Amino acid sequence: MSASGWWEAASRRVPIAGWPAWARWLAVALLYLWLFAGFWLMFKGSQGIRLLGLAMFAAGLPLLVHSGRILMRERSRLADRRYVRQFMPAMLLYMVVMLYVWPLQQGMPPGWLKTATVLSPVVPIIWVIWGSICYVLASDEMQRLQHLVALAIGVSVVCVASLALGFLGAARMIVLNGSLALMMVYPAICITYGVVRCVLVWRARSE
Amino acid sequence: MINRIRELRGERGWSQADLAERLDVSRQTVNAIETGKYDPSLPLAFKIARLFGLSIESIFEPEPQAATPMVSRHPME
Repeated sequence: MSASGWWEAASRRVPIAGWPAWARWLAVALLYLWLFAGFWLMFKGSQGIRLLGLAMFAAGLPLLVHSGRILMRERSRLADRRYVRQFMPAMLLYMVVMLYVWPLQQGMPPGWLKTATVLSPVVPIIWVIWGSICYVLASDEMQRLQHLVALAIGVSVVCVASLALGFLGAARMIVLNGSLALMMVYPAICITYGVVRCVLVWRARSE
Repeated sequence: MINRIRELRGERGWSQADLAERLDVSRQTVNAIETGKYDPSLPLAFKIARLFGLSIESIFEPEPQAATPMVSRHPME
């Protein structure tokens, strides 16, 4: 049984959807705490602790998708299960690449091998983006509208913030790390999109 | 748009999740349609009508128009 299938079966056995709202929120908050603890261990611990963190993160990944459904008392649709099947291995691969492959480039001489190693984290990110596109295309019409509005607002916020930072940097009022700033574009869009989508979903679900 | 979906769903003893599954949409979308927060597209409206065995106009009807003047006036007037 796949991880997402296991989670579905577990959700049916533990009738979370029937719990009061505060209990559902508490359960999800605790599960997210677990996820972030795993993430923290991956980057802070020794080799063994890192592996433990990776295992915790892997176990907690399905929550990223399913916790929202628990809170909204949504039944998992085929598109959700497909997204989990694409998102989970892609994120795990990304973590493994960032932890064990990307650091190898530090001692390498310039060449195709170094270029390939440096760019290796982009591959799982393309996989994540592909999964996200498939998920949006498989959403129903109202959800697609929410995705569109959330993405438009999210991208606009990131554009304004980057423009402001760019002006401050050009005037030498702040010192910007160009590489870091470019790498933060995708996570920043994901975060702003996610926050806006949460607000839109919350507004739509209130009776 | 006003609709009778909640009433029709209640008559059949379906939950929002049941209806969502039959329409292949999310429960959130069913809730938004029932509460008038979202007006479904024509294909989804036809799907709903077919599911309940009714015509679209017997499920959906436009909200009563507020009395508005026929000629628009400049706000500064």
